[in-house]
Amino acid sequence: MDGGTELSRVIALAGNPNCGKTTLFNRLTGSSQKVGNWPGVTIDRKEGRIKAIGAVLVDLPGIYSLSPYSPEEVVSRDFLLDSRPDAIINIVDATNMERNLYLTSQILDMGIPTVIALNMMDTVRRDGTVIDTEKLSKALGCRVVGISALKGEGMDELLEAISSAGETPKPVRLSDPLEKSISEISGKLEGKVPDGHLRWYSVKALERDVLAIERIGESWEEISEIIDDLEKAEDDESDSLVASERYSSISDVVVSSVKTKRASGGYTTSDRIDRIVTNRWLGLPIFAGVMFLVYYISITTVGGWGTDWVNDVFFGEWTIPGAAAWLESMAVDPVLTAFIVDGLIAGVGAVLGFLPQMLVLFVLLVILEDSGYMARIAFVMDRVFRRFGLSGKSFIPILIGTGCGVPGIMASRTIESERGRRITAMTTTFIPCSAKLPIIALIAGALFGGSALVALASYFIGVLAILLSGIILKKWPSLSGTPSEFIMELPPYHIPGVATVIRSTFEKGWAFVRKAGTFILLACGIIWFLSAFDWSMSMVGDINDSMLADIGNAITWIFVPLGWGDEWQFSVGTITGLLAKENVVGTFGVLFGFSEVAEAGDEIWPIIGAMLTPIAGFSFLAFNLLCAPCFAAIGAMRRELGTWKATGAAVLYQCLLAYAVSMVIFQIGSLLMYGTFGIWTVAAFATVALAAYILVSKEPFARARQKISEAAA
Amino acid sequence: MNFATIAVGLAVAAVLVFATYCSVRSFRNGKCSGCKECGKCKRR
Repeated sequence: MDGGTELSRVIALAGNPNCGKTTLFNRLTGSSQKVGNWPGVTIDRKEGRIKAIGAVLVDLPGIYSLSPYSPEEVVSRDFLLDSRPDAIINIVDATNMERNLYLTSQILDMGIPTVIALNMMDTVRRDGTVIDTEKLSKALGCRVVGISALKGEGMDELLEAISSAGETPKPVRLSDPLEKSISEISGKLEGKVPDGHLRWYSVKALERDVLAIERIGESWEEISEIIDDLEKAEDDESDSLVASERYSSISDVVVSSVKTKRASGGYTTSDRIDRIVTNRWLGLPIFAGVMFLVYYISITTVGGWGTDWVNDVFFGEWTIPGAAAWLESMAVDPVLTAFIVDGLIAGVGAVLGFLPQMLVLFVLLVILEDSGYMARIAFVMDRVFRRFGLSGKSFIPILIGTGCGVPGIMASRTIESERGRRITAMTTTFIPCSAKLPIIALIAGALFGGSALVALASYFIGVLAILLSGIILKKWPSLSGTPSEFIMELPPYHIPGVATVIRSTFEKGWAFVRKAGTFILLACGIIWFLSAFDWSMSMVGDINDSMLADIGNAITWIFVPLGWGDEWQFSVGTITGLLAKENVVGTFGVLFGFSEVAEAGDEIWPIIGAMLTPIAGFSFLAFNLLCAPCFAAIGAMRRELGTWKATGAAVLYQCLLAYAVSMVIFQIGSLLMYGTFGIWTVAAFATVALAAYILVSKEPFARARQKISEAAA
Repeated sequence: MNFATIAVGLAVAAVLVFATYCSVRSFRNGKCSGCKECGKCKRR
């Protein structure tokens, strides 16, 4: 690919993500694209022919810099160094030049003829900004062409610039002390790296770039001394010096060639809001306050009123009595009537009763997401997550997981480090998904007077479980390492569109209803059957004589230390939750006779309230929030973790953590509130001590690490 | 067993079969729900 004839010139297309690279690529190559894979990584490689100039255009992955951290960056720099294209088109977003030009300054060090395509000029003109491309060209030492890939503007000029590109560009000049060190390093590297790459390797060596150091080999010792001297003289680390010098040069270039309507140094409305919302001290309390308000409106007040009406009127006065009366009037067999009314309608009805709360919640969450606020939360949480061995990038799957755990687990693929990806896939489901919200609303309504604090506490437990798991799991031998970098674009705030909010809310609401009409309908049918018949297939008068009661009683003893093992219905509800978490509520609707109490004008809440103390109810909630997720999410975990063994280990970890947390909540909570003390209280304290040891100890799994090393040897 | 029981029974059976079909299809399609929120689309 080096050099080549006019017919086989190779042009690389490089730029930041979201700068219009794909649009430009499509415009230049038309329908002549070929899609493959870069070797060794699952990143698309796109190639096409620019027919107008008879060249091959290779689309590099969107990157912010040419550091050695992410697979995308490594693929790009290896291509530029080893394949040495004839020219580079560096596409730059003209509305965000300072950030984009950082990559440009690194590309210019490579000594490959470069043309800068300054994209989105139509937006720039609309905003009243004026960019002097001639001045920019002079300052950067290469041709700059203003284009709009979307509108097709400037394409001819760009093609002409690429055809005539042949001069080695002038690199961005850094400060005198840095340039002196680069010159000394270049002297040591002469003859050891290709001449055209001398500057690139010299600057990368100065940044202590690990991949460059590998290629430099033996010369590194001498070069390292030069860098040490520079760091002593400047009293700062070399990579930090290079980065700040680059930004300083870029800033000078932009100031000299860009004139904006906004006074220089002025803040946009988004910036002003972000100064408060992403503030080091205010960020988290503001987030907690916003989420409390969201749940107060959706669960306690507006949504709660809707749920009361659906339970009391729609199901309580209309559907259930109406269906029962109609079936009786047609003399339908009583067993079939009971199956339909007490099984299917009661079970599904119990879940659909929460639809108003879900819809209000979805509206509020869509508003928060569409306004741009949720992006800020990932940024705010990065500060917190980093202290626990995770990156803010792990928070994005968690945010997605608040809707459904399956796409949340799949979103862990965006995390570069293997370790971070695996830990995130294992812990994403700790955050309550929308399917768990009916359980939260049920416990809140039955035992805590509908308080929104129950929902807030549930999310707090989820986040705490994720953070503590970050510490615990990173000490496990196969999961140790450092968190990956987190670079994220914060979109400007904007008022959410009404159509978007309505459409998103409808889609989420419909998904909830569809799940109720499928998985939950089937599960309720099976639950009713098992609870209405005994092993000899005779209908039972007392539910405690049924098949389900026997199954429940066989396993319920496991949950006695958690405070809800005395009644088998809760154990059965937890097990049916493995199919779909809403099933927990649906199961209660069948087992606690939702149809009967609905007719009497009551709900199942008072029944649950009579069977559980608030602390036992909270323990039940915590267990269902943290334990193994639904089968669909377990399937997603299997795909991300690779093997059933790893998935099994992850599910076991989740169940053990859920059991431990639940037991501690119930036992220590009961001790504090009711003064009860027993063997399981001792076990709860022992669990807390064990957790503290694992959190504090440097090598809690030393024996496991030794065994793994021996097995590897 | 009267006609109403048979008719209602068949209707319920049809609903349950349809619910089973939808559940199985949804579960098998779980690999990609087209939500575009997973990393696979974004990385490319």
